Amino acid sequence: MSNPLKKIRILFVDDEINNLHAFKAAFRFDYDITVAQSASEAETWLEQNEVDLILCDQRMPGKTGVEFFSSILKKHPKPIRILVTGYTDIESVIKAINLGHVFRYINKPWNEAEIRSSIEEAYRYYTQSHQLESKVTELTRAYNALDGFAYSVSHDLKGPLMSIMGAINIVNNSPDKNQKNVSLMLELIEKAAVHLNEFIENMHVYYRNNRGELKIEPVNLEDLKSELLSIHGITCHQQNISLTINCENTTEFFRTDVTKLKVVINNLVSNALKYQRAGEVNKYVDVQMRVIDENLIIHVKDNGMGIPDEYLQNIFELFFRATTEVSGSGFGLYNVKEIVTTLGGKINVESKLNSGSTFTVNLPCK
Amino acid sequence: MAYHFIIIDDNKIDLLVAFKAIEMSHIEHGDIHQFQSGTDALAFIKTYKPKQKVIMLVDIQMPVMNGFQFMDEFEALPAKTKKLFHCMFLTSSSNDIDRLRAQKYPSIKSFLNKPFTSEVVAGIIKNLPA
Repeated sequence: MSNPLKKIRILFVDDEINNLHAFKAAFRFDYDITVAQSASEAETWLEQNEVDLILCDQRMPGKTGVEFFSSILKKHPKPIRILVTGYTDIESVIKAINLGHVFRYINKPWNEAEIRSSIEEAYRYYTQSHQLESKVTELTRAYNALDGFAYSVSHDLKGPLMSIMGAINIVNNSPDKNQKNVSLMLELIEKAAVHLNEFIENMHVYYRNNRGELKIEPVNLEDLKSELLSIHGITCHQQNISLTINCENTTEFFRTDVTKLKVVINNLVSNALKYQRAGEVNKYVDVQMRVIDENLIIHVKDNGMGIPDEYLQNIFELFFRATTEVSGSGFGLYNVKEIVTTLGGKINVESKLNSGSTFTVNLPCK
Repeated sequence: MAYHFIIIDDNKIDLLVAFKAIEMSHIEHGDIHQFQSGTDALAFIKTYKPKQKVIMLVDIQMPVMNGFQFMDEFEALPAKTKKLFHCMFLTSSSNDIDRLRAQKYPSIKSFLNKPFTSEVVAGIIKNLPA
């Protein structure tokens, strides 16, 4: 709407064909003009088209201008309505203005300058009220997100602290500071602290992704591969999971925000390692990365616990968690999805309960 | 009179903390059952025939089935089963809305904030109706 290069779109309704011609002749260079010879013709046209402003003559056979405006108000509330009328109709004009059906009226016979200034003023009002409307929607959404955020953050930050305090209390009340209790509780305290730290780091990623600017660099898939192996190698070894990483077309040029890309892959791989199935003998995580037609395609596949169908649509939501079996913050996949979107890409998941999941990321070259 | 305990919390650490707090409170207690999800607890309760009264501690924020959803299911159980339980929310939430929402459940007798300590256990026992 606020595009300055775009002409204001105006619909002019009058039963006298000469008036339509005169109007079109006077303003067609400055505005995008459509004319209609009756209320019903205008209504039909409005079904298919959008317009910023409607000017309508009051005295017409069939529907009057005021009647026409009040009849389209529900279906087309957005365009600004201006009535063109003589003094004799003043009663109905006042009523129409008071009911909010008409933005203003122009006296007949009209002159070009008056019409021009009315149109400009109406359009300014039109754009401002629409900007305001979309700002309000945007802000409402932000507030709702903030509410949910504050609630969950207070739980996720406070939760581990309360665990720590509970454990300390038990140690303190242990008669003779029972050594077994002390070391057990210390272990719990450490776990809670690690969890808290993870949560704070994820929150940091969340925040940075919401503000930060992109830093576009060339990607070296081989470097990425060796980094992944060095980060996750120990976990794989400890938990007996085989991690394979394949890169194809590594010489193809690809650019994106490398730091953000790493957050995405690391999250997907550590999820795949985390949500393994206890009974599985040959646990594996398989990563494929290749550049095709200036797109980087990443598959992260595992044979872990999988995701129940009913939760598939929710897994990218902030603070959503689909299982109690493994601890998580509900931040990971939300961050992944946000970053992928920021980078202009897409993420998909295919999953079967008790047989594994495959996440596919498709990123365009920046 | 000795009480049985049921603790429902998705966080293993808090389960253990609660377990230890009960053990160390020097009150006479029966079994202490621990569950990491409301679903598991419900399955257990449906066939549970305790000889003594049960104190049930329910965390609110849990994945899959949260404390409120768990209580919705619990309140639908036969009155004969329900009257064996003293239910309480045990949460790190200091949210007023959670507190208000908790009042909707006739079976919920109190709203406890973490950390759960031996003193809290003693307080619960002291305040239970005979």
